[in-house]
Amino acid sequence: MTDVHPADNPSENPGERRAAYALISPAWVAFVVLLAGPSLAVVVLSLTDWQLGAPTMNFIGLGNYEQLFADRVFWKSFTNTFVYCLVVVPGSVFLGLGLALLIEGATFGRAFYRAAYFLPVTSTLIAMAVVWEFLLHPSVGLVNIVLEQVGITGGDWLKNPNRALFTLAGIGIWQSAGLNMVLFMAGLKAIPPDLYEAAEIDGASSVWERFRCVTWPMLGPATLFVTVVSGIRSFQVFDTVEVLTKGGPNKATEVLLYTMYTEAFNFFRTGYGAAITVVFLVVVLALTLLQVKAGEKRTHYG
Amino acid sequence: MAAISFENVRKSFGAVEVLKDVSLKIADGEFLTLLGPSGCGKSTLLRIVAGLERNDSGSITIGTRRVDALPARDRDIAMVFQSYALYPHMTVAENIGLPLTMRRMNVWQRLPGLGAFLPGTRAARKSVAQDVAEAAQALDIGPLLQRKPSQLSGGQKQRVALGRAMVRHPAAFLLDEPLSNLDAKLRVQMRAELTELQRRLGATMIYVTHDQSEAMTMSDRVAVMLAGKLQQVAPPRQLYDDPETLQVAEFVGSPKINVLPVDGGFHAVRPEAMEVVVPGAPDCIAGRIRLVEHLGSESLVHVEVPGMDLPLIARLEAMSARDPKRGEAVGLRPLPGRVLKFDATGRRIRD
Repeated sequence: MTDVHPADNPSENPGERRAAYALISPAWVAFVVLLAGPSLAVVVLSLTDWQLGAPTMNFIGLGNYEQLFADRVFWKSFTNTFVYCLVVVPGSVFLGLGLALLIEGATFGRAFYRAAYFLPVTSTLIAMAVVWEFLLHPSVGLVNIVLEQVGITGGDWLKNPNRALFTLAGIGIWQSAGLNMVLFMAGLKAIPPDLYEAAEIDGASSVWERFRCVTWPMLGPATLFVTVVSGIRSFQVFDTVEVLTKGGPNKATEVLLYTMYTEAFNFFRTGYGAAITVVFLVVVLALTLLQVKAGEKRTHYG
Repeated sequence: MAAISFENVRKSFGAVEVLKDVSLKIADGEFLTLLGPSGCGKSTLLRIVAGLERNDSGSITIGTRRVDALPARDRDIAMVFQSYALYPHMTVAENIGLPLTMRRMNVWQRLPGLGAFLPGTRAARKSVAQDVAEAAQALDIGPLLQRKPSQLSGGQKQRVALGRAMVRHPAAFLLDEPLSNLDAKLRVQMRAELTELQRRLGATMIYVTHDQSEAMTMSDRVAVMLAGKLQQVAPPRQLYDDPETLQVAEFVGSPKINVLPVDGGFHAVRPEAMEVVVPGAPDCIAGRIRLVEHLGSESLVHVEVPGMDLPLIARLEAMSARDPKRGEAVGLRPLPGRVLKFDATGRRIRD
């Protein structure tokens, strides 16, 4: 716009300005009530010693945080959450990609496989966790029975402190691979067929070269999105921990959200729980920004 | 460079027969255009030569080799796509160099990082870079080599796509509507450049288009294709002046040729072979002027004739003495010797 007529500029016309504010107000109200307000409340609470239901509260500054960072259980929980993510994110991203490529390449039964692998996403994880508990039962669980048939002693999947976290990670991969697969399939559909044809004529015609020259780079935006979403989702792991291990054995599966939950709702230390939540939010935000920054350099849109 | 020939090529997609027994010989170094409306099978024919589709029957020969059974990469041809099909994550140099990298380096040498330590990698990279620079020079895109396709204009992308085709000196170039994504002005310019390039390289080119002005201006010969059949293969001039069938006469030339039903056949007269005369003159068709289009160097006079669905069109030089007005009653008379005669099936009748 080179010449703006005064009347065209809403900021100079009271009527239009009112209309503009009226139009953006629903979005603003929703943002404040649902996002900004609660986040601010959590930050404020984390600076108090409030306990759920208590009539009084005192501001104790960074007291909760001092206590938190000195707490061995918090650090255990913090590392466990990262280890869980480091297993689940690559696992579910590559499994999702593999499934998407296989199903795209399939000549029959595509709808069936798509639905089958997407099923875990639609099911309630709490209910599925109970099913997993049966499957993983050390003596009568299907997993160990099958393993015994091939001569492997399965052992205890959920009570072995060296193994429990990875068992949960396995369930996490099973649960989220389906969503990643669907997102990758959408990404695959968006690749122009011309590029594969050009690659074929240019000599990049083997399966590996097609993947390296066309599929993988063209999936860049999808991969970035899938990785960020998987990262956030796996950082929020809670359901399986609550149902299957309760953070045990010996804190081996203690994760951030579970620690937060027990502090705030079992021990009613709301202020302390709020501090954990703030740490959780900061980490999620930082991880997301890091992934987007790192990814965007290598990602080609369009 | 090499000659290309098809013999009795057929292709169906399901129940739809897209190519019905196509045979054609293209000489070494010839610029041949496949011209036809969309859906006529011209792109399918090109893709069969490229190896992107398989012919159901018939044979295709490039040079002395029969290539029907060969995969695309072994046919020694290059293709330029309508969408350019550049790899968006690679620089211009990498895009142009890819066909060479694929041929001159093995899987291990191509690996990023590790490849650099293997014997022969450096020499191969150097030779690729040299050839890329040469192609870029020829196409005037040297300064763009380090850019990504998203930073290029349509015309520049077009050149990069040409560079990728040129760089390995293929036996033939296949171009699938390469100019249709460019704006009108650039299209005319690229038309000239492409012809120039073809002459300089002495390349065999098969060029697919639905745009007859591209076909007429660029080609050595034009193959008109309608509904899966080659109608006529001839130099542009001959195609216009001496069409074999009524369909070709109607498809080539703008405005369309005037067709008059004449006892069991058709007479066709190009607009410039139509004379505007006074009504009632001997041997003329009487009508009334419905529209006069002034195009600067010439005017198109649309004349409504009773009993005919479409108006007849006459082309007048702008300098001509007549200044026809809308609504004026006039007569139209074909110039002697400029009437093309066709039988009821549309086949040409020669005297």
